[in-house]
Amino acid sequence: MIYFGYALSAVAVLFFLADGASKLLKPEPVVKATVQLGYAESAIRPIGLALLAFTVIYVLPATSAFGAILLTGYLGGAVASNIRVQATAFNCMFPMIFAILVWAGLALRNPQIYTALFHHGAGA
Amino acid sequence: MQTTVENSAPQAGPMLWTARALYGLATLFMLFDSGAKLFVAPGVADAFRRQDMSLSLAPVIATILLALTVLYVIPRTSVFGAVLLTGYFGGACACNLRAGFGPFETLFPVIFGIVVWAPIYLLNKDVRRLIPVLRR
Repeated sequence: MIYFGYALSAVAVLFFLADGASKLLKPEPVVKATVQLGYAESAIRPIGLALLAFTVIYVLPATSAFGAILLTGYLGGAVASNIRVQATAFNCMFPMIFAILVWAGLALRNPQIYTALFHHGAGA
Repeated sequence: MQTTVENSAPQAGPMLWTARALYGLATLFMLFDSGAKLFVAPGVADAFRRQDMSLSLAPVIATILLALTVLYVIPRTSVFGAVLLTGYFGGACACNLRAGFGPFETLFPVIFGIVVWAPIYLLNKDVRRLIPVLRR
């Protein structure tokens, strides 16, 4: 299960690295897709930098849970951007699938994540 | 099995009350916000227009926020709820960023995300162990 966890996290991380790098390099299809979502072209590099930073935080073992939270926010932004333009259901769900990979990959490697998420909450 | 409070409550009194106050504040704000969107309160239509967001999405967004808030309030699912709310606030931040709002409006959902996580962090030692902020 631990190796399965690494595999899920690796799929997500490789995708984020490729996506983040493509936002820094800004090839034509990436610019087109982002502008179609209504973002200014000048926003592409900062968005790519944020994704790469969150991915690094997720990869570092000491900060991986914090990285997962930051990536969740990033992916929530991707979902909202697609919903706003009333994109296809697949496009809207696609970032959610990655959020599941991020958290499932982490929880399978570190059972403390599963405990923290579902066993007991705030208790206030 | 230990009870939730034994497992997770901080020892210090002021910290406990700070956490409870933030928990209540975050919850009330989200209930208020989802209610405002559900009934399209004055200002909601204007905010949606500024974000270039279809007003027909308001009840959907309101229902999602309400459901996530309920998960956040139930002790057993509060951490999971906080994760899902993080996605919701990421969406709000992205919409404000896209629409070219100023830094305060753009960062407000991020600040609110911190307000949502702070009580969870303070009240749940599992979360404290996993998120190494202020690690002792």
